[in-house]
Amino acid sequence: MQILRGWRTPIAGWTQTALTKLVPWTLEDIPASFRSNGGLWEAKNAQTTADSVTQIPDSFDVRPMVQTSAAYQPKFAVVDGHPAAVWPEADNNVHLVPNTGSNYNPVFWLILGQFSDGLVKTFPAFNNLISNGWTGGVGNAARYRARVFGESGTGKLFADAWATEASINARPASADVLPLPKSMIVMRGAASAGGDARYLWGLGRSSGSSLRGWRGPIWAALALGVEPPKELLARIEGRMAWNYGIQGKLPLGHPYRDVEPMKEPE
Amino acid sequence: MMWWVGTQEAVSAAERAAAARVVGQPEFIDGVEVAPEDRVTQRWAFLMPTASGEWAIPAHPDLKPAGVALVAAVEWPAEDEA
Repeated sequence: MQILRGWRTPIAGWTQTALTKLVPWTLEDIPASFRSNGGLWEAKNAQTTADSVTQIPDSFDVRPMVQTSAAYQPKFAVVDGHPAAVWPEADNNVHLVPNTGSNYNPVFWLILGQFSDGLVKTFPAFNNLISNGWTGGVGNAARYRARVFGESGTGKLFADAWATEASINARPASADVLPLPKSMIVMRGAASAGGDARYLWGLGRSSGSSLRGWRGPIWAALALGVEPPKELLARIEGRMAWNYGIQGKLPLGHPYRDVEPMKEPE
Repeated sequence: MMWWVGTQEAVSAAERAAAARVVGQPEFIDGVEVAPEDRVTQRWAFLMPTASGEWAIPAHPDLKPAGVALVAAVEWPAEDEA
């Protein structure tokens, strides 16, 4: 007998012949209308040297995340059973960023990452998770809005940045993000943030000599140009969580905590 | 993290020496070596100005180039932000 997977409750009245063998719903199934101004980068697909990540292809096939300078390449390692790009446990300028001219303007980010060892309770610096490389404009606030970063000495995201709160593992958004063991980090911001920003969003601090890079592993990153509606968001969270073994961290009642997102075969 | 600091000429020379160590090395996707023209690494590091008007790059751990100082911390120009 075929097993109908992906449904939370039995469907009364269905006969065996009506049941279809479902197949996994994947992140590549995100509709194209959401993918523009976005990208999907998973370290498992990375191009590497012997020990460093040189680029992570975009699974949407638009804009790979690249680092041409060896000194600023994240390390490549299997962390918690999955390949990851790993930022140093020290001040750093390590980052990955699309090539110039590949500008984009996301409103939604999901990072599968961890800060430091996952136990640290305060940011040691203004550690940047994502940034768009922009350093122009007038006033600090405009510059802050070109990135998302931790507030040095606290466990919070910095206020007045592109995103000042994050939803960790599909829980309500909060500025408090540390400690941050392997988790899904969802951030939302305005598409026009940063004034005349170049919108070349990358992972880590992609501008300046600030040494305010991330610390710890990033397994995957997803950017979308359109906010996903509730059901699509749940599918994205579910797929990412199941792919990286953290489905048990989803809240009780999340539609994909106990079953993977599935779909009818095409 | 250690840094090389010195004049632009000296740091540039140090960067070229470090680049010679890393550019052209094999790169891989899922354990399979990519074609040489598909390698990404092009340099060791960009030169960055220090607060004192010198230049700095991260030090390559295996090299000791002449003309640059090896230091543990660099004073960077003040940034207009947090």
